Amino acid sequence: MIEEKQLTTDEASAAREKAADEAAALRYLEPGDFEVFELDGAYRLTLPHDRSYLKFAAHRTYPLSHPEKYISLRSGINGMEEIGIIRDLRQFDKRTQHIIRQLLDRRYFTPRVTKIIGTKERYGGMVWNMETDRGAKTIVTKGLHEALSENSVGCYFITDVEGNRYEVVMEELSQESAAWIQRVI
Amino acid sequence: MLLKEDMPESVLSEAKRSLDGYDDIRIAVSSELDIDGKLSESWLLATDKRVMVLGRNCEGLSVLHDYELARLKEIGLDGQVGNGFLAALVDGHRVDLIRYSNAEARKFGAAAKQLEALSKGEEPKPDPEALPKRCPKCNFPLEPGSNVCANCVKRGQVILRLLTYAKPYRRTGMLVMFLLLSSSALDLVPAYLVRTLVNKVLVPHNGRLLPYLVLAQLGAGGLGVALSITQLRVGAWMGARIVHTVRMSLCQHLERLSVSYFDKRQTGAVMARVSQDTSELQGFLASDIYFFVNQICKLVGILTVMLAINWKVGLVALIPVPLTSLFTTRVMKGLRRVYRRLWHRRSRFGAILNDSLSGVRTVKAFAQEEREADRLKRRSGALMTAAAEAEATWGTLIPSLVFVMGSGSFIVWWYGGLQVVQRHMDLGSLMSILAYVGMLQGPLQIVVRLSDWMGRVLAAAERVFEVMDTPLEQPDAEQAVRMPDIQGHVDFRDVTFGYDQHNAVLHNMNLDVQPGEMIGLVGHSGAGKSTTINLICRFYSAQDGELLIDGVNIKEIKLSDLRSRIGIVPQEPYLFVGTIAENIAYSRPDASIEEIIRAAKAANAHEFVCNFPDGYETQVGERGQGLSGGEKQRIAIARAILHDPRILILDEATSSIDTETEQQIQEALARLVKNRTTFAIAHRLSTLRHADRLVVLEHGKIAEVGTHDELVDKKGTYYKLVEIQTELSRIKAVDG
Repeated sequence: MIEEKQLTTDEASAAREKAADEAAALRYLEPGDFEVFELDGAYRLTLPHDRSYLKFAAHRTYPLSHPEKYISLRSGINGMEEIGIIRDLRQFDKRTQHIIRQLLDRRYFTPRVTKIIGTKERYGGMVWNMETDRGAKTIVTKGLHEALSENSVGCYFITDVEGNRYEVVMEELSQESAAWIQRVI
Repeated sequence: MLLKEDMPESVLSEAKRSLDGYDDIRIAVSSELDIDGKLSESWLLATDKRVMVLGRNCEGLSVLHDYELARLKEIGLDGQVGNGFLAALVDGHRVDLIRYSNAEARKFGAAAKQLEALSKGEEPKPDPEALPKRCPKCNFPLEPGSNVCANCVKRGQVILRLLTYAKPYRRTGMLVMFLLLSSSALDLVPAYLVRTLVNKVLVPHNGRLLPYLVLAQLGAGGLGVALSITQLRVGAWMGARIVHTVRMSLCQHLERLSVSYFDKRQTGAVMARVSQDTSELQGFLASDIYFFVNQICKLVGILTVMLAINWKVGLVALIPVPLTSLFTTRVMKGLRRVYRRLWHRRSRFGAILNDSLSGVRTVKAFAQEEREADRLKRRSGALMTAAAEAEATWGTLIPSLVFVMGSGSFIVWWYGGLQVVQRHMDLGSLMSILAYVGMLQGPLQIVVRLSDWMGRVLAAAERVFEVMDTPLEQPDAEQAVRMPDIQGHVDFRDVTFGYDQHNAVLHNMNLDVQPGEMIGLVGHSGAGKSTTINLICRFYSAQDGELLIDGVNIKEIKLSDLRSRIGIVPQEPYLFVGTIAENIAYSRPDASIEEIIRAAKAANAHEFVCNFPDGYETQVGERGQGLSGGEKQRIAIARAILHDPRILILDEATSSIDTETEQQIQEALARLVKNRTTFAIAHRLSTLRHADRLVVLEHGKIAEVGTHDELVDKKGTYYKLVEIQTELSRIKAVDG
C-alpha cells in the first residue's frame, strides 16, 4: 500500500504508464480517419491534422480466413510500426480500397488452386499439374507429409520443392480436382 | 561467371532488337511472375551499361523497363510474402523492376548484388550457387548440396542399396538360399508322386508300392518343413541384424542433421520413420523376402514339372495367368495408393497424438481436454476411413484373384479329361497336374502380393533413404580446421542471416568479442538475440558475411572441436532419462565422481541433490520430471561447468525461477562465466548489469553497444527497456 501511494504521487511514473498504455492500445481506423495517395510509385498515408507517412504497407492479420478484414497499415523499417488497423476494407471509398488492394496484391503471393488437372508419381516426388488464380503451373513436391500441411479443416497448403506455397480450399474445387487431393491425404 | 540463364530464342531476338551491346549481356535472369503477380515469364537482362526487363503479354515479349545502369541507385530486394521485387531508385523514384517468387529469391538476391556492382562500374562477384540445380536428365529439382536425382534413381537400385546392408552376412545368406531352394524342391515331390500312385497303385489295384509311396511323400514333406523352419529361423536372425544396421545408420544420420531439419518437422513424423518404416523393412528382410523367394522357386518348379509331364495340358493350365498378371498390375497401383495414404494418415495421427500428450499439462491447465479429444477424433476418423478403404480394396482384390486363378483347374479338368478319355495321357499325369494346379495358386497369389509388398517396402525404404540422403546442412568443410584449443575470440563481420533465405533476421551485424569478455544480448523478442546464439553454435550458418572464431571462419572449423568448446545453459534445460550424475556428465561421460560433485557444488546443486534419497543416482524421467525448474537449471549449469567451455551461452538461464533460487543460480553463473567468453540473453536486464558490454539489438541490427551505465546515460533504446522493466517490477510489487 505504501508503494501504491508513492506511485500515485509520482507524476512522472503516471506519464510513463500513460505512454505505455498508449503503446499497448490498438488503433482502429475508420473511414475519414486517414487518406491514401499514390505518388511516384510510392504509397503515402496521411492522418489529417496529425502526420503523413511517406511510405506505408498493408499486412493481413488473418490472411487466410479474412483477407479483406483486420488489415494492419504499417510504416517504419520493415513495417514494424503500426499506424492502425482497418476492420473491413469494404467500408472504405473505392480509391482507398483500390490502393490498399494494390498493396495487398503486392505483398502476398500464395496462388489459390482452382483446378487440379492431374498428379503423377515420380520416384521420390509427385508432379502436380494444376491451374491457380495466378495462372497454370506444374509443380513438384517431395515427401508429402511435409509438402501438404493442413491449415484448417478442408484448407491445405502445398509447398513445392522450390519453396513456393499454394493454397487449396477443398470446397472450392470440383469433385474431380478434390479427388486428386483426397488420394494422398 | 555472372548469373546468366539460357535464354529462349524469343528473349534473344527481343534483346537483340532492343538492347545495345546485346552481345555483352552479362546478367540474364528469368522470373516466373509478371509485375502483377500472375504466373508468366519475365526476364531481367543487363550489360555493363544498360538494364532491361522483358515481360510477356498477349502479343508476346515486350520491353517493360530499359534504363542506363548509371541511373539506378539503391538496387535491392523488397521481400514480401511468397514473392518479392527487385527494385531500385531511378532518378530518385522507386521502381519495381521485376517481381519474383520465393523459389527465385536466391538468384534475384545474387542478381541484385551483381547489378549494384555493375552500376557502380565495379566487377561483380560470381555466385555459383545462386541458380537452383536441376537434374540434367529429367529437369527434376535437386536437393541443395546434392547431385543425386531421386527421380532418376531406379527402384532396383533401392533394393540393391538395401542389400548392401546384407553384405556382412553373405555366408549366412547363402545358407538361407540353399535351405530355401531345397525346401522348395522338396515341396514339389508329393504331387509328383501322385502320378506314380495313381498309375501304379490305384488304377491297377496293386497295393505293393503303396506304403513306400506314402512314406516317400511323408518323408519329403517332413524334410521340407524341417528345412523351412531352419531357414526361417536363420533368416529372421539375419534380417533383424540387417535392419538394426539400417536403423542405426538412420538414427546416427538424424542425430547429425542440423537443427533446422527438426525445426521444419514434427517429432512424431520423424519418429514414425524410425519406428514404423524400419519395422516394415524388418518384416521384409526377416521373413517376407524368403517367403517370396521360396514361392517364386516353387512357381518355377511347378511350371517346369507340369510342362515336363504334359506340355499341352501344362500350357492350358497357364491360360488364366496373363489375365491374372494384368489384373494384378492394374489393381496394385490402386493398392499402393491406398496404403500410402494409410501411412500418411497414421503418421499425421501419430504427430497429433504426440503433440497432445507432450503438452498434456497445458491442455489440462486450460481445460482443453475435449478440444484435444476432438482433434484426435478427427484425425483418428480420417485414419479409420483410410484403413477401411485399404482393407476393403484388399478384400475385394483377393477373392477376385482367387477365382480368376482357380479357373485354371476347370480348364485342366476339361482339356486334361478329354486327353485322358482319348488316351493321349494317363490318369496319373492328369491327377498330378491337377495337384500342381492347386499348388500353383499359392505362389501366384504371392506374386500378386509381391508387387504390393514390394511397393510398401520400397516406399518405406525410400522414406528411410530420403532421410539418410538429406545432406547434413552444416557439414565439416573438406579441409576442416582442427581447433582443439579455441580461445574464445568471436568476431561477427557483416553477418546477414534469415531462417528462410528470403527474410533476413540479422542484417550486416558487426561485433568483435574478445576472449573472456561477457556480452549481454538485449532487445525485444524477435530482435535477433537467439539467432545470434544459433550462429555461434553453428546450428545455422550466415548467408552473408563471416563469423570468425579465433580468426577462423566458423564454417571451416571442425564441428566437433567447435561444439566441444561451447557450452549452453538453455532456458528450459533438457534432462535425459538417466541419473542426475549421468546428466551432469553428459558432455564428459568419463568424468570422475569427484569432478561431478565439484561441478554440482559450484552450480549450487550439490545441496538439493544430497537431499534426494538416491543422491546423484536419482533417476530423472522424461524431460526431467520430478525436478523443479530451478533444480533443472542448476543441473544444466553443473553440466556446463564440467564441460568447461571457452565460449559460454546463457539463453534466458534465469527466466523461469523464483527470486531466491535466482540468487543461487546467479552465484553459480558468476562462477561459471569467469574467464570464458560469454553471451548471455536475459529477460531481466538487472541480471546483465555485470556484463562487460551490452549489445542492444533492434530489428536484427545492433542499435547500441556499451556498459550498463554508459547505455543508461545515453538514454536510448536500452534506457527505455530498463525504464519499462522498472515500471513492471514496481507494478508487480504493488500487486504482490
